[in-house]
Amino acid sequence: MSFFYQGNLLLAAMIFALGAFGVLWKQNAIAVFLCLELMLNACNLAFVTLAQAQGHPDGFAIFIFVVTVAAAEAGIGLALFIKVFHEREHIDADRMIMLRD
Amino acid sequence: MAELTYSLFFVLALVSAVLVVFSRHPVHGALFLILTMVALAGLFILINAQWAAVFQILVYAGAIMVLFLFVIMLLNIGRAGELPVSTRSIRRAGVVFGLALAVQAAALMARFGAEAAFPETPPPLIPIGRIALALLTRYLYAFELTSVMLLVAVIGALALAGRRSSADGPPEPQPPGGRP
Repeated sequence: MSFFYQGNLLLAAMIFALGAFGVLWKQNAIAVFLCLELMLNACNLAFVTLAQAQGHPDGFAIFIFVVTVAAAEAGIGLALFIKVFHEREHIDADRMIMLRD
Repeated sequence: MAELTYSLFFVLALVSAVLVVFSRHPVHGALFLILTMVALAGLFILINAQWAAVFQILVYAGAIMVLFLFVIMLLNIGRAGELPVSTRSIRRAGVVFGLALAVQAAALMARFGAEAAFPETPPPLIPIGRIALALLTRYLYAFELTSVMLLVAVIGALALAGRRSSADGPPEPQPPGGRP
């Protein structure tokens, strides 16, 4: 049974790397956000796995905080995307370069 | 039997996570992300963390992803077009960064997993009362700040996406193209 924990940690590492790759790779801002959620999910998996392995409730508390932050972030971010889309008719992250120019 | 179920959920989570990153359309990405969350909930149940699985399905897949799908529907965005040349370097950096992170994290996790003594049988279910106790004692300030953060997020989302009323300042000049 103990390979469940090691497997979960390995899976968390792989999903986190995939999400980090996607954040830089994807062009659509909503797709970037989806990859961000993937990274948060990987963190949750690691936290819950370690909390359960140690029999300690702290990991679960942090799991709740991560989910709450994800909810707040999704609300604010998607509201921003709606605003940007109304202004510019696209939400391509690569074309939002007003601050760079 | 448990090993077989575990392998099933493991592969399902990994494959759907890959498909989140490589799907062309955001709706497909969001649906595969929901599949990833369901698979992760299965993994939570297999290590006897049923409570986290319920939370994952209810809040994450049920609430946050519905918000995503709703916004995708509202904006009606199609598939991505071709990239301008100037951003290719960012994508190359993404490949390098992702690969480096994967190798690093896998090595770290493997080493840590080999050294840490994980119990052979899953420890008993952590009662939800102990989690509540941790939340309301050790993490009390963080817990209270979280409620303030949620309030700020709600107000911010309303202020950003809400319809502009005539009361808050002069109206913005219309862009020359006009709005559809």
